Amino acid sequence: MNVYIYAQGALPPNHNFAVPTDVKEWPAFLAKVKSLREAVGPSGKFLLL
Amino acid sequence: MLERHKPLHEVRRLLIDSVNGLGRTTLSQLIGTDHKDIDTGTQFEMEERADNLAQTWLKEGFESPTENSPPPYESLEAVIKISIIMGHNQLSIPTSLNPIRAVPLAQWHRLVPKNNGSYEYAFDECLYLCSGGVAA
Repeated sequence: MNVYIYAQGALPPNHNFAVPTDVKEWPAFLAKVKSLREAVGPSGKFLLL
Repeated sequence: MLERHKPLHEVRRLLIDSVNGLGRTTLSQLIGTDHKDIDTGTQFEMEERADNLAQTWLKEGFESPTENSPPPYESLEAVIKISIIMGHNQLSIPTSLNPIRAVPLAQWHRLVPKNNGSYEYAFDECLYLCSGGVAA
């Protein structure tokens, strides 16, 4: 079985994001989170040996 | 493995290792990079002990991941520690010249973040030592 280490940009330490209760707001919320993560750099996936 | 999100993100793992078949089994805990032996006994005893401890952690607010939940993200040091405990000591960072370039975990240079950010890391092999849902 392949085992991986994943890496992703962390959200700012003092973020106060809360998942919106209204489902309609989820796409915008997820896009904002994704944008903040990508500002840190690309995500990565590394195979452990 | 149990994970708590608030107020401080923390991942705790219980590790059961059969040293000599079912007769001699060790139970240890890994909290971040702190690996500590808990007890030794039969496999049944250690599984029971682990379940009791996990139930205590659930009451403290930790969550047990479901089968389809993503791996928890934590510090690189914690991820390297669990990787080594699970028997991995290298990872593959392919290059155009070497598609399986193996780099020792201890020598791996973490990803460099931009914009004053930071990276978080996850080890994807999860151990489920207790059942149950979200703690109160």
